Amino acid sequence: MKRKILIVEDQTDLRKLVRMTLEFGDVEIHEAENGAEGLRLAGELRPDLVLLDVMMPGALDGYQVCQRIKADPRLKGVKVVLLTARGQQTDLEHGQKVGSDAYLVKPFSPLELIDKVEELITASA
Amino acid sequence: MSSSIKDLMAAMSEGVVMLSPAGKVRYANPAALRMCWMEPGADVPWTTVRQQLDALSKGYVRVPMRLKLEGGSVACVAIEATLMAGFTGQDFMLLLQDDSDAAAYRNVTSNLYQFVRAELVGPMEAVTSAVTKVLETLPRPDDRALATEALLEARRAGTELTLRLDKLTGFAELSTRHQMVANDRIEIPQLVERAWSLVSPLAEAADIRHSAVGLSDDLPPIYGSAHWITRALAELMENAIRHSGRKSHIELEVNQSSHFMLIKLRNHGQGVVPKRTGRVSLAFIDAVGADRKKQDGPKPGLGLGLAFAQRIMELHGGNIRIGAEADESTSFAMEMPTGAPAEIDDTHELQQAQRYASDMAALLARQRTARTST
Repeated sequence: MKRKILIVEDQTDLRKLVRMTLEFGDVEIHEAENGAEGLRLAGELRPDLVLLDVMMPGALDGYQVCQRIKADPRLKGVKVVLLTARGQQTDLEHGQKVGSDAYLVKPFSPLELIDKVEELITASA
Repeated sequence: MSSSIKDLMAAMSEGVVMLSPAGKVRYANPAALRMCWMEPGADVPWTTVRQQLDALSKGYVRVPMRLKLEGGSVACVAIEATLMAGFTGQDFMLLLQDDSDAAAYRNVTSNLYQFVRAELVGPMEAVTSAVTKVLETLPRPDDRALATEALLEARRAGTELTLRLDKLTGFAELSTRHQMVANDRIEIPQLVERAWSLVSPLAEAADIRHSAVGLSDDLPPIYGSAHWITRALAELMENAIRHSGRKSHIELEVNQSSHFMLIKLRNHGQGVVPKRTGRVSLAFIDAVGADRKKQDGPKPGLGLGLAFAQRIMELHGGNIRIGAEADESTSFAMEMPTGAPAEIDDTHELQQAQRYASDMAALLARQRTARTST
């Protein structure tokens, strides 16, 4: 069965780029353009991994979505990778605090993205 | 350039110009052409850019570098530009941002700032110096007691004026710096706590207490400059305190509506003049002068502080509102979008696109190798 990856990112162009990068692998990709939609889709799809932008407009930012995914027993085992332009130490610490499994700072390389996704998906297999 | 990157460039509101190392235009997106017409193959129309490219070729300077350029159309008179490495090889990229409105605003506020320095700071220093001399030279003890009273009053006025100048210079600073570069993640409970701590001496002096409703760690964060947003909320609190009766109470209520966060302060005191209610305007001078004349009206300082807060909120996509309540209390509300700003940060977007472009070849090679080996 194909692994499911959910991309939650408000910038359409970046979402498409990430999708294009990951489609090289044998995975099923889903997209959401804000935190609320991302959380809803995560509950419905139960993906293996969520790629989550930190700074999104609206009532839920990436940290909050991550915290809620990690607190939901139905989503136990779902890996979360935060994607962000915020690379300060305090931001990384906040990412850890909300339970993220990895943190990619923009601009990130597609190679780095693929390696991180493969590493986490393999570990959860 | 691939068609997807070209589509991305065409959709951008910022201008993008691809340049050869010799300063020839290879590509300019529609936004760049609106700011200044240029032909593919021709020299880039700014001498400064050509000079910097020449300096780059000799290794005297490095990219990225920021440049201020003149606009080349009626609508665009000033451009903020960033010269950076291009997607491939030796080429360069020029990112253009129309700075015309900001330049005009900076000009006006800079004039205001100069005016304050020339017309207010100098005379105030002269007054301080003069009263000091008077104190030192008064001959009789009785005269000294009378003079001391007057001088203490002068000192109080001086302190008040200094505070106003601080706000006014802060106001000017807001217009001359790129405040929105700050994208701090701000949690509402911490924001309220920090802002209240700034005004608590004023509240304690008037024996005013406050209570809060709706503060919770589950509230969505807001993004922006923590420094300026805290100052804006502190201004609202200060106004609520200044227009409250002694030993009264201020209620703070936080509500989330749709994609906005509303922080509302309600005091129980003298109220504000009706013409000042509603959306706060930036015309603060008349309010300061008019209010000062009324013995039973609000205390001075109403206009400037709120105009300052309003400017901060506008820069963050928010708003300040004042409401006269039926029971003669006044509400001061601050409204801000929740979550990150919806506007795209083109610099980050371009850096991400550059990174992808430079690593795409390696990615394709890796995929090809993987396919061959299977």
